[in-house]
Amino acid sequence: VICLYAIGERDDRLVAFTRRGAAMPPTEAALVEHDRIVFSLMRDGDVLPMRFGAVLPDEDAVRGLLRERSEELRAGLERVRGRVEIGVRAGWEDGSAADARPNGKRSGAEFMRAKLERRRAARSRADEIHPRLAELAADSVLTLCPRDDTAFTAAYLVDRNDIERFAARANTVTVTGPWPPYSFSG
Amino acid sequence: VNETLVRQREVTLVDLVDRLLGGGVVIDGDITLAVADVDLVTISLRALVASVEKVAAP
Repeated sequence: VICLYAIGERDDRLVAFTRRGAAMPPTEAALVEHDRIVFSLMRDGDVLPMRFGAVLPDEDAVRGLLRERSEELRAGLERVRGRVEIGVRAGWEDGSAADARPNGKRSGAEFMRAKLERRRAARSRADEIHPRLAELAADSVLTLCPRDDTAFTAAYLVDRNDIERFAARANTVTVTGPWPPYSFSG
Repeated sequence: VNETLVRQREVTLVDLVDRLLGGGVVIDGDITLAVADVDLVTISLRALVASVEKVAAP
């Protein structure tokens, strides 16, 4: 089979970056390797990353994909042109009520109340930080309370020239990236 | 395209999973790898992919 990494353009033609060989299970090492390859492709030009695990039986199938979805893929490439994804992760503020770990047995009502409280705290933390960052981005995706230790995560589609400016403004949160535009290719 | 694209390293496995398994271009469900059945496990890095082929649309 053929594993797909990304779709790009060369001389105004759609191209697929692929590797021949069996699909890998999504181990940490395989994910790291996949991302490393897509990232290196992004150094040479804009790409739409494929979701990990995308495989097709042969080259004809890959060409078929490029033909059948060319309009959508070109529109996707247009959207990310000259841009990269930057990730942001925000923990809870020190002493925030939402930071308290669930302890012992709690009733269903208490659990729901705590959950609501966390959500409210996450919303207010996001309101503080997210709009100022979204201002510098062409697009963004915000996720509240993705995990217990995280108030929110967000992904921003940022011009390559604005990476420094964006990172400087995001000085109160954890910044990752730049990433290939995974969150803006679906 | 700039050549000074450098990565910042405070990446966690969760960041990778969110993006690589939750984002990206999706092709027909039945030909993608079934990821739900496979546990995420840490293994030592294997031999790297030697080269990435390029298939162009005719």
